[in-house]
Amino acid sequence: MDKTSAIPGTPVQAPALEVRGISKSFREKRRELPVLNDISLSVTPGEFVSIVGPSGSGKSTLFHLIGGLTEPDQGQILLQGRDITGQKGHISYVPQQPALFPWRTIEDNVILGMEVAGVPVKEARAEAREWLLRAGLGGFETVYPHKLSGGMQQRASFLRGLLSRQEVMCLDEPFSALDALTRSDMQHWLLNIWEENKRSVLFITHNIEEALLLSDTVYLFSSRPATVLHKFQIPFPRPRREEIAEDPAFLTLKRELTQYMREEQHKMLEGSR
Amino acid sequence: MRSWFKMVWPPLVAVILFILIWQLGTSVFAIDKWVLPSPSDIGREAAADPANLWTKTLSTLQLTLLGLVIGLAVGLIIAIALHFIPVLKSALYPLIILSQNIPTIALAPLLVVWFGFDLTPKLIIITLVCFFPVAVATLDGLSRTDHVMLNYMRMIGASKGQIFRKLELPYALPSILSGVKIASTYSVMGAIIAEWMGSGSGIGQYMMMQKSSFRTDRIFVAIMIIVVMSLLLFTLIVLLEKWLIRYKPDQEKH
Repeated sequence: MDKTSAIPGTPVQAPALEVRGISKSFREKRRELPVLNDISLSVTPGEFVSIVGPSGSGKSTLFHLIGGLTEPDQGQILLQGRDITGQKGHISYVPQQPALFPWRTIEDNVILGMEVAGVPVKEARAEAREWLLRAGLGGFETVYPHKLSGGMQQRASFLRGLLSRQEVMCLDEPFSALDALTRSDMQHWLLNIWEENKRSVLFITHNIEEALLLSDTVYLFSSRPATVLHKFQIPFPRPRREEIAEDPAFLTLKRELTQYMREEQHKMLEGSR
Repeated sequence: MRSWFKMVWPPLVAVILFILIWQLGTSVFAIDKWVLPSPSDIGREAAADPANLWTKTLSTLQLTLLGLVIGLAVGLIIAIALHFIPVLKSALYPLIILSQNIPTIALAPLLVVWFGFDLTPKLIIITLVCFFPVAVATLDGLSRTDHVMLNYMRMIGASKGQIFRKLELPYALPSILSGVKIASTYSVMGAIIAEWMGSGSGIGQYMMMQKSSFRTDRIFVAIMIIVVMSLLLFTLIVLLEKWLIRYKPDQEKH
């Protein structure tokens, strides 16, 4: 069929989300600036897929394309086999900054996705309360976001995405603004929550360890214009625990990816000179 | 409470000092009462016929509030319409700014010619001075919506109406309210100018009458009433703001 499903080890199942041969360039001062070049990837139902790439490699542009904010120059985006290229509202989204609405309480923020989708408020609230409790945010339901720490705000933002009715969740470097300790806390928190409730996830990060810890599949992007350099299957069994980061196989994989990334960063530096 | 006290006493002392100097100045230099009445003269005059002043104040207050409400509504409607129709915004926004260069007082005689001496021309004047700050503040607030939040709403498929109701309007609310604050003080001024046009039974008309009989003390009483009315209206809006914006927006993050 297409090249992604030809790679051995990919489960044979209709992908929840498939990106087929997407290219996109922007015009900047009369010059074409290619950002994405023939990107193809897929997320099977219940799979956690990460995209790792150097910063500025157009990963966020890919999300804007999947989310329908802009249209690709070439290629298609398919959701359960249906073409949704350029259409909005088919994915749930967790942005880089928590972007909680300051005039809404935590509970009201968490139900926003459901509210927009037309879920009755009573039902949405009940569900939100249950999840807030499970996510370690019990007791903060009626608190305004500015009273919460960055990590807790990001948890609420993640719950807002999780409770939205769309099948595929797109997470755009959700932990990049957090300090190292909070970040590692959040990774394990996310791992637990996600393993309880297996949603199809597409996760952008530039942190290799984070990608290895969380994902089933990792796509490595090149520097701009971004192409898919490699696709790695992460073999570690689930449920995963923190200790996995000390496993020799984990370290080998991490070294391998780091090497690739370093070469890419290098190319980018030379390219900009 | 302490900090509130710290904030209040310097202007309070300044005002008391000012009044004292005024009082002393008028008696030391023996200034005629029709040129500059002393604060005690003004106080005595204000206490002489409170019932009459009260009726006039109420009449002006009624006119002010009615005009303010109409002005706010017009301002909001214009801002929202321009926000939703960008072509309209680029066509009309410069004209709205330009309209503020026309002095309202210059329009008053025209409005009397067109609409006579009843309520309509008065309300038009107040509306003219009130709609502008509200419209500009609202447009400004609506156009400054946080980009990440906006992208989030668009990504998850929120409609234009949903984005407006759930994001843009609440996001613009602090900005809108600061426009309303300015409009509220303008509205009192608008009402007084409107009453100067001749008819009516309010403070503005009272001022005109006292002017023709050189009752400077009474003019000062009228000015005092206007100031108090403006302050009260302003305080009312500030309280409304406190109630509407119960969350504390963190400015430094944006």
